[in-house]
Amino acid sequence: MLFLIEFDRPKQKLVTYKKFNKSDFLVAQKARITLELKRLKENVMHEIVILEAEDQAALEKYYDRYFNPFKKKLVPK
Amino acid sequence: MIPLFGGVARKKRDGVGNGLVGLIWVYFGVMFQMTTSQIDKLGKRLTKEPILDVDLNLLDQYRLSFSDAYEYVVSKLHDAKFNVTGRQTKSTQSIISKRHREKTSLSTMQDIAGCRVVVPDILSQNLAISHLEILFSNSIVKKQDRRVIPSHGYRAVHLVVSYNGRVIEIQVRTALQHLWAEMCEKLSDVFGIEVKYGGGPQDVCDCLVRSATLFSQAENVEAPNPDFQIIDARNRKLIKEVWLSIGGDDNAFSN
Repeated sequence: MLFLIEFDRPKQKLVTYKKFNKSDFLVAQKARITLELKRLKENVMHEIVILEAEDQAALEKYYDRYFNPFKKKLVPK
Repeated sequence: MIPLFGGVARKKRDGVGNGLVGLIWVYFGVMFQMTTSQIDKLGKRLTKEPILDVDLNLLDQYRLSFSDAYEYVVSKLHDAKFNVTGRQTKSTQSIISKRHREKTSLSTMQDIAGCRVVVPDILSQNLAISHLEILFSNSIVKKQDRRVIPSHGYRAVHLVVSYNGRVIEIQVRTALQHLWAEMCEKLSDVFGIEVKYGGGPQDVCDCLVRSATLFSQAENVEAPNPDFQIIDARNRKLIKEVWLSIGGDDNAFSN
């Protein structure tokens, strides 16, 4: 499966999350570039990527940072 | 001129037949006609603001020209029964960041497309690497064993495979190495990307260095354990202990 992820790094926020079948590769890539161009016009630089994993569980296991950010705001000493 | 047209004939995988992959390759092959010099100039333009629509589109065509090589590598990994996760195209943000940081030319970036294999322990990692070296015996152009010389604490083995003029990076990590890398990424989300390269607040650096050393020591003494879930729970406990020992907040971890 393919997963379109848009992630706001400083806010640790998953902004966009869409699933595609592997056979919809072109649709997924089109969705990604459309989103990138849209954010470019908005002057917003988010991390936008298509990831591939066996299923949603595998994606969440191996790309944990998109789904389980640090809960509390961390402040260095 | 970088070769653009890859092999069309390849066996089916996951219902994506030769026809679709061939169509993808021909589509992007026709679209993409840049020379190495033009690609590198595009890379330089991307580091200057504002980024133009036309350049983002060109970058995307370049990234997608790696699709055939990516499918070739991932397909072979699946056939060899590896659990693979992949990233077909490196994000724009990551490319620009790498250009700023390392001044790497766009045409020589080896991780435009890549995939990852996570195995339970060091023994499994060594076996996996041996297997991959046989599987891609004529295609490996580079092997980086970062277990020997870590990159700011990051440990893993990277193999770079070449196919039809494109390179694909395969990262092979143990569960502990992967957990450390994920922790590092999460910390970089909060404190800035420089955390991944030895920068950022000193406390954070210390935590990463100490935990990297601890994990490496633990990996080299613990016996191989095929039960991934047990190792997973133990890894999380270990990270938390390190974090608390340097004064980190107990609530910093979501589980």
